[in-house]
Amino acid sequence: MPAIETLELTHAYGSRRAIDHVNLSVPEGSIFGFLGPNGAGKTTTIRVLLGFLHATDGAARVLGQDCWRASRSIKTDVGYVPGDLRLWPWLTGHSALGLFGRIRGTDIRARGQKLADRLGLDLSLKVRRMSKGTRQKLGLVLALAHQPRVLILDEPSSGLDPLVQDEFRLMLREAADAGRTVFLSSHTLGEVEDLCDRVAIVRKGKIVANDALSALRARAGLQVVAHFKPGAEPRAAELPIGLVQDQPAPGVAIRPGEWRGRHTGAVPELLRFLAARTVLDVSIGKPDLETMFRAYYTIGEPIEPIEPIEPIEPIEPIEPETPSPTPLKPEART
Amino acid sequence: MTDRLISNIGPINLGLVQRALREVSGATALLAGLTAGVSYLMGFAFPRIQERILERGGPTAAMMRFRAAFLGEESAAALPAQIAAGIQWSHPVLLALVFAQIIVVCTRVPAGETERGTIDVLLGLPVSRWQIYVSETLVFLLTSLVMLLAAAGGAYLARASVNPQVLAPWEGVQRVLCNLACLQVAMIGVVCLFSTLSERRGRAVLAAVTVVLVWIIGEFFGGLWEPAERFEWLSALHYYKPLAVLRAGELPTTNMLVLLIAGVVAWVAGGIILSRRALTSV
Repeated sequence: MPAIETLELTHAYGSRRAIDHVNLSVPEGSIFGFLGPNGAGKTTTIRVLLGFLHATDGAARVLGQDCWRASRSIKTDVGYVPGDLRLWPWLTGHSALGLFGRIRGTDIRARGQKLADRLGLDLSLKVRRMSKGTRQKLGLVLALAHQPRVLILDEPSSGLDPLVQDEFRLMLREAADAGRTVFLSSHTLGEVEDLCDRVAIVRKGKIVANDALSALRARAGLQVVAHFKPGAEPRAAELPIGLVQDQPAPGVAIRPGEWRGRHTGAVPELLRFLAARTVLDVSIGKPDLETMFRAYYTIGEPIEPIEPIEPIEPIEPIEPETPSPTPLKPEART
Repeated sequence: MTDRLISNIGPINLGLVQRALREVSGATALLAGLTAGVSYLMGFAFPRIQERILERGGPTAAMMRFRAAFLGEESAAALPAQIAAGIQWSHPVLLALVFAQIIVVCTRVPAGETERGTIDVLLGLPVSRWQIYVSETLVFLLTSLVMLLAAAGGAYLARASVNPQVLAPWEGVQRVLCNLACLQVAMIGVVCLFSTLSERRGRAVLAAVTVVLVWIIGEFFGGLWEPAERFEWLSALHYYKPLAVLRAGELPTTNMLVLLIAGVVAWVAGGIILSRRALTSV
């Protein structure tokens, strides 16, 4: 049984669909990354999962129970950290642990103290005096202290300093190792890349990718960064089948002669194409999550599923047509 | 290993009650103190004013007319002690304090929590919306009782320094307090309903204040202007008549029932809305 499952889940605010036929299945004991920019529908999905919002259509289940009807019993086994955590200002860390324990019917103070020590959180501080990062730490402590089977985290590490982020990632890994499920919505792609077994990317309320990271990488093909002699960059019509130039990200300057693209065709074709040109430098490797994410969000690009690439055949030796000024050094990145 | 705690008694969650008490205790203490003071001053001053009026040969025609609008037609035949107590328990300042406490406290959940964003944390806990509503209402009722006791306490203390001839019997005041308690229940129900309909506390407060003003104005103009009299029954204040209670010498059971039923109906409607509506921070 998946820990979290949505079937054709749709939620509309009036006539605007915030999420549109979302299908997710998060296996128990996994860390699942849920990616998308602001307004893509991540928080709405989480709010439906937690029973804050009623699905307009479709179904959502956590631990096999309907998210709306069994909202209360589901949350016994769920720990939740909202994106912008706001707590009652008169609480201190200690009183928050006492109060949340009283509401949950479980004494969570001892475990909460241990978690606070790991995150370097002073529990005697009042919430009204806490910075955003400190409040976020308290939110994590309160979400983890009752050892929930499912953790739903909406931008949990925003405001945390890098050292605390490392500790937080460790805590999530430990939770997953202990069989708990983590549903992690994040903008921090490095964090998702480090932690998650599976990733779903949501765009304008629709899921545009949902798979294991390794499978997504395989589908995304190869990332190619080549430096041609300025003025010798290839035109679109000259590109071999499967090689597509990336549109530059807004605000990112491209150096003269630099060329970036994705290749989903046969590798020998790519090498033949490069060998036939004056290439000063080249890097070919698997794309990182950020590149894949950007590929789904390239401005104006329609939502198209990426076809899986064919298995790579052994590369035949290449006879260069014209001598290259520098030796071609394909460099595989992982 | 974590220990189990008793958290729920029926639909009431003790943690939620603890949280709500912590949130409303300050405002309630302040308003209860003010109410006790105002009640003491009124209990001290109004009988003395009646005494002076009697010494000067009774009220003037203008005073009688205003009194009739304020207390009803039966004020013409009422005893000075009853009039003094009747004015005290119908006085807009006292009622405003009682209503203000209800408005301040009852608009917190869900309107206030939604506005300040804490609703996400609250709903992220293993409690149903009805549990939140019932637990909060228990606190609303408890704090309203504190307000009632503060008003009663102030009035009781003032009695020691008042001429017994212009002092209404304490049993009669107790009946008025019962009537006032039912008015509080009606008010709690209405404000809870507005709170469940709003995402902003300010809007819920504005709606509640508007309703109270309509009640007061409607009731006041009903006594002065005939067309307004037809709509008097819509005002909760129409079912709260301290002078009539003091004169009759018995509990106004019908009026109390009307107020209780109105309060419960509005409260249940609020609960149904709360349990069904989308609820997230704004």
